[in-house]
Amino acid sequence: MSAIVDLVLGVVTSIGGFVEAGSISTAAQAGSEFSYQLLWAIAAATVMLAMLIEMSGRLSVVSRRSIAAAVRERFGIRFQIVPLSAELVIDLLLLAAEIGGAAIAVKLLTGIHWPWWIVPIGFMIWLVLWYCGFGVIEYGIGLLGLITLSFVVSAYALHPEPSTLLPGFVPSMPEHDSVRYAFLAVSILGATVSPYLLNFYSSGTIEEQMREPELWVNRTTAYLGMCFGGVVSMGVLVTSAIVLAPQHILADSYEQAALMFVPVFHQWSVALFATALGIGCFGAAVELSLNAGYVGAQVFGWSWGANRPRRDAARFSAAFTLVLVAATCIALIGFDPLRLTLISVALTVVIMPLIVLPFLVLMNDPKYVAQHRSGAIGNTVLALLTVLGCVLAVIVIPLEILGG
Amino acid sequence: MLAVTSMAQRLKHAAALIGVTVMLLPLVGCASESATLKEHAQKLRSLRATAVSVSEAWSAGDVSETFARLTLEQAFELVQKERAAIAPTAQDLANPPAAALARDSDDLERQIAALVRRIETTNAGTGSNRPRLTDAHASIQERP
Repeated sequence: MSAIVDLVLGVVTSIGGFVEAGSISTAAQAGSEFSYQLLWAIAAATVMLAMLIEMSGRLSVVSRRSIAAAVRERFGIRFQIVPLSAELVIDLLLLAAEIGGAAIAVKLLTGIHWPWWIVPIGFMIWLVLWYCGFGVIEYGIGLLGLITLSFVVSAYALHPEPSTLLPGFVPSMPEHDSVRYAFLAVSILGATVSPYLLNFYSSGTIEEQMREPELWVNRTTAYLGMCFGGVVSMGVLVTSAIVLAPQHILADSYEQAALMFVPVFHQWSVALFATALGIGCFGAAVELSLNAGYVGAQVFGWSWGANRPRRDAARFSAAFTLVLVAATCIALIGFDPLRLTLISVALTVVIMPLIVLPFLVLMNDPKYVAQHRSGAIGNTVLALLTVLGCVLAVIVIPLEILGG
Repeated sequence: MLAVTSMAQRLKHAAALIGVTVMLLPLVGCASESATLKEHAQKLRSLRATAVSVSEAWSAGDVSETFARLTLEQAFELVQKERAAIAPTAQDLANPPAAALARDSDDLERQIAALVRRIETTNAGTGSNRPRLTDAHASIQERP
């Protein structure tokens, strides 16, 4: 019975926690610029994320180690320092972008300029991290995040034409702006498959003390939760494609993106969009900060755990506090949060092989996963997608930046 | 002797290549300039559509005065940035397509400013002046 409750909670919170600044901004831009043509990118990225999440849970359930700790043990600190530094830099940028996204959400509701909200939001994130246990952080924020289902409701209410919607699941060349199209495809991949999610999920299974007989819960939660979460992202794209694209409105700012809700939710549109954006960003910011604490503690062998009294995990608490302060300072510089999000998620794809490829090696090492090794097809598909995404990102990011 | 001829031929080929490249460079420049202008035009069209959409939503009572004003003010700032990027120098402004686009952006700036002013001066509580706002954004819509 407890396993079923865990499963339902896990799936529901995965849906609620799926959408954040990266997925909202990339899907809204993709819909407004290329209509349904990038639905395949969300579908592919979601399947890739579900596979990786399931693997990360399996690794930690069987080995009782998180990904960061296992990579450190298997490859040594000299190897790990490179992916670790790259991930830290990207996570810092992402965290700053999420804090900025949450600040813009409050601005949409209050009208007060967003930089004023950066420090209060940073402090609220710290309060949640300091006073709440893992269950409250995961389930509480995930349940609040169910408000993002409003994107699915709006897409459904707008009655997309199946004959034009379904071809979007098959990759095709755009009629215009191929570089922009490729950049958005890469950004969608980076926004969906954020490396921090893997270590956060594997640390979570250790926090929740999941055991081998419950591996089916892990598998079902990963696939069902992520796939339903992907549907929320698709809801953003479809709503944007139906409302913004015909009016030639590009979702270059969150204010423009908020207009996608007007035809369905009318006077509730801005409040709903801002709440969905705010909770999504706030939740992602809490997870990113907590993961920074996890990674630091797991790599250097400190005691860690969101459920432990903070004095018993002082260095872990100091690590997430430090990263949160640094990201708040970056957000205070005043970069446009939406642009920062797009650049961060695209760069995520560049560093993805550094994170995913060693992880795939671990998933085939009997010392860590015993008889629960990954299949050859899954390994090959993930390795190929990761490397292809990275190559594409290395090509299109400079072109996109040069093209303005 | 053979080596000298081969070297001369190579130099000739290299010179021809450089010549062709030099001749093509302005074409590449033109292509990239027109692509940049097209991009600016797209951005301006998007900002114009945003101004129309938000003012319509405000007129219909779907969005608050605060949101409408914020969005229009932001659109105004973005139009200013686009205007600055379209023709940053006098030479750029001498290019007719750039000059036309710069004029468009100037017009759009003025129209958005007028919309902001009207929203600010309108009593949002009664909504009595909202139909007049529709007249104001009709002039924005007329642009291609």
